[in-house]
Amino acid sequence: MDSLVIARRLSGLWLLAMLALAIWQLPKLAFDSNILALFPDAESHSVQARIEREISARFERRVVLLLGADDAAQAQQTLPQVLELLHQCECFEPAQTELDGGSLASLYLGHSGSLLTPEWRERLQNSTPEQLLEHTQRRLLTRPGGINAESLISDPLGSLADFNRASAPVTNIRIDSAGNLYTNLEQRRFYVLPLQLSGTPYSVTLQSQAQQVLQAAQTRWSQLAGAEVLKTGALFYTLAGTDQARREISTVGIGSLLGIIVLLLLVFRHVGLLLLAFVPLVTGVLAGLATSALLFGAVHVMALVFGAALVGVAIDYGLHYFAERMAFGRQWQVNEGTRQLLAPLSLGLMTSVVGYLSFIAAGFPGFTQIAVLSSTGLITALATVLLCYPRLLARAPKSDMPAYLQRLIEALAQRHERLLRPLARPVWMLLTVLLGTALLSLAPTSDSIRQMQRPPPELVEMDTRVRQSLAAGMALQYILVQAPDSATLSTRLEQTAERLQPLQGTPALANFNSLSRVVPSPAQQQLNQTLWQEKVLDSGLLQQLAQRLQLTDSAYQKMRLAADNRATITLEDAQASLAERPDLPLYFADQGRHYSAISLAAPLDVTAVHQALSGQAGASLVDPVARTDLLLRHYRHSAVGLLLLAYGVIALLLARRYGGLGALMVILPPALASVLALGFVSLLGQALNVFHMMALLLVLGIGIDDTLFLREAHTAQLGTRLAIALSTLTTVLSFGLLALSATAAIHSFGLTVLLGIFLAYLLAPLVVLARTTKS
Amino acid sequence: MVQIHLAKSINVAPLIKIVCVCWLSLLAALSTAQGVFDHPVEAASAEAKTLEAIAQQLRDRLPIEGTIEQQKHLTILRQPMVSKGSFELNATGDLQWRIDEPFAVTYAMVAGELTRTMDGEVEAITASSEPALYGFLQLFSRLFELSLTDLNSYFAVYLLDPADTGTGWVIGLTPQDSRLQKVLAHIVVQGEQGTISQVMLSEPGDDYTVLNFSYDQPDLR
Repeated sequence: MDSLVIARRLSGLWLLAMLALAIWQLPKLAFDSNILALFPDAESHSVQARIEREISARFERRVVLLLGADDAAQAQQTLPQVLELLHQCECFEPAQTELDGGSLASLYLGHSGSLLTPEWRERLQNSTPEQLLEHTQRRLLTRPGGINAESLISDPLGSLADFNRASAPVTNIRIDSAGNLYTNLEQRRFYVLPLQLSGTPYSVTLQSQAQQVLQAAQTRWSQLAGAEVLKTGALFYTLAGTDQARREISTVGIGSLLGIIVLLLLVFRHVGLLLLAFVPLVTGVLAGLATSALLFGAVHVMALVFGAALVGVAIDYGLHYFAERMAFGRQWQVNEGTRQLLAPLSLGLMTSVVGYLSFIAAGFPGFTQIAVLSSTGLITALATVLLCYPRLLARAPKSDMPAYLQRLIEALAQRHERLLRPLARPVWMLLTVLLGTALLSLAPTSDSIRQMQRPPPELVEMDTRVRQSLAAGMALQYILVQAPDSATLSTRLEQTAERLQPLQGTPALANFNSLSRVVPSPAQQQLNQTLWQEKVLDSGLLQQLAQRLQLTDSAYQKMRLAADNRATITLEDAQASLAERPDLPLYFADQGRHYSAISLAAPLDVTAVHQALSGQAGASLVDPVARTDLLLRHYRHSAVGLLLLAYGVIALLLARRYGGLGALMVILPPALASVLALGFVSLLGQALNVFHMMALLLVLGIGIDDTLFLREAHTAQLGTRLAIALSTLTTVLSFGLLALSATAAIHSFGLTVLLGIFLAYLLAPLVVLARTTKS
Repeated sequence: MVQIHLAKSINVAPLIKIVCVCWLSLLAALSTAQGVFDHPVEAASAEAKTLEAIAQQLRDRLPIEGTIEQQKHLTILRQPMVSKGSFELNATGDLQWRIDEPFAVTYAMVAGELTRTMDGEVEAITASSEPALYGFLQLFSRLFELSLTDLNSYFAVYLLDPADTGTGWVIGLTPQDSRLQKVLAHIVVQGEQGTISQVMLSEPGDDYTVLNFSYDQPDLR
């Protein structure tokens, strides 16, 4: 069968499938703006990943507002109005205030002998029975309102109440006389409004709802004299991320669209063609979105930013078609023309898709989405061109290509070739590529996630202020403690906490939070019981206390029984209660091993903490930032490997058609362009990172089209030259606009593609020159 | 006989065997005050106006100082725990609560911040660290403001005015918040003119605390 017929049938089938997919998926399209999704998630099944997921799940839905004003009375009046405004929004649900210790208190009940604070251990050890008696009586008699019968019987010395207090959440939040939460920050009173999002802060719908109501609340509060609003929560970072992505999508999308419209009108002077040019583009973007929605549930906003750049590539197939038709002029024969385009367009699509799909092999989830979205988009765009254009553009144009345009293209092509001719030596080019690569391997590199993704500094600063005032500043680093059973785990937690104690409050470690604070190890509880037995029961202290207070006999018997409890509380017993306390580190058992984290508060010195832990069994410092940096380095290296592999695979595929040297000549121009682009970027002072390398995959995938088309053009040089010039311009327009991104990662990517594609275009004629020079 | 009958009616039967005469008369007085819970105060009613008048009298006496005697009656104790001290309250709600006997401890509530001074050491107490204590002292300083709207957000409010009792007024408060209900059944505040003479806090069950207040300069009334 004719290859053209096969291609058109395949295109028809593909478009049908895409249509069905679009009808099924597009109505429920959702977007995700979690910037971190762009980054590697390789160890998602590990214990560390589980802990980090839990930690972020606990915190990501929390939003805290701090409202300050000059006049306290006015502030107290306005506060309920603001609260009501906020609670009207479905986007918020009632938040836990974290002021009470949850159900741990009821778990502790009856364990007064096992649960002693360090102060109480010391007091029991060093005080005489008389001193203890006096202490207890004073406590009972100097608390107005104070003690009820139940607490007197279950906790006669008040030691358990102290343990409860010590295990309560550490917070600077207080309650004023009207029951409002407040905190003092820089000697000013700020009312604290803890809010809880009703869903994930990455949902774009929820974000906009929350943004509106928060804006309204802020406006209401701003009417007060000296009003100040501070806020913290993942929401504000995702909002900033979405805003930025939205801005960039419109810059890139509108910018490239306008550029393309102007270009097409200038060259083809036909509104109908302009409209036709957008058909493959629209179908491509829709198909890309539908496929991403099917495969990933939600389309990542970053993928969408890249999707906007897809516009510039997807339009190329149409451009080639228009240019070919224009070059044929009145001699245009639709089947002949389409057949001539079939091979270069298919090869071009193949190389672009290889370029994109190699992103998947790199292992970046965000990039996988970009690859899937772009690949399906491109395939659909070409299928649309092959299926629709021959029918709609079957008639030959009324006129030939304008003479001035022909002359312009020819003149430019001649100059271009004259300039390039001295370079057209395959050996020379290969040596340049090799030498350039060697030099680039010495260029400075960077793998720091913090440099690639910078949240708005004013947001970070406000966040730090709020967290400090609420004593809630938690570092990303934590200590992972593990053991074969829960008893050993709690002992190890205790030992680790002891090692950290000397660092606490020093520049090496601001603070830490360990579960040993709320559930001592069974060994420690038994030690406490022994001390309690000796000092409280055997010494007759309890009996004397009962006499002094004139306790009834039955009450004394109850008190005595409660004080003589030998049971210990384990982490497993406490598991449910611990889960109610988001301020406490995680504890869980997995496949027979027990794990817990010790959370650390910044500022902290990783090396000092490391040293403090050395030799402690089962405890290790986990530094997600350093780990991500290490991963980014690993991915930078593997992206280089991938790039070499992609060049190899494409060369092998092309060798079947062009022979070894021919294939080499096709891939050398984009290779040279890549080396030069990277050289420029490096000279501009940018440290090379994984995103520069990923961009080179695209330079290969798209840049090679130029050489392929020229190589395939044979006699139809005119149309091809026009087409590749136009398609380079559109690609440079769309990807070049990515270079404007405020996200360093996207900026690196955009700039490299911009330079690489432009250079690939400039160097593309080398493929023809090398052949003519050689022959 | 009447007194014993009244005592039975509020279910303190286990105590009857051991109480003395004065103890019975105290209970009787308390029982009269219990009648206050038959007289709820509705917003914007005549009672509400009376309550506001009482509150105004209280506010007019600020700053005020007096002595306190606290009796803690627990059924598990054969006799109440008693402590004595004094208090000072100013117009902005700042409170000094001094306990002198049997141990010396001073609490100070200034601008909503509570501190405890014991053996010369000052310690900050937050609502979350000692909720019962914080709540009690806050309630006490707010009692002198007696704002019906404020009270209504936590309590149902009842009032027996001097016309009914013949002597002073009695205000009853029952908590509406379920957490508060667990530790507090009701509060009865008795007073005359611009002073509070007694506050009784009853727990669910038979335990209760009585605070008696006296003022050094009765001629000021």
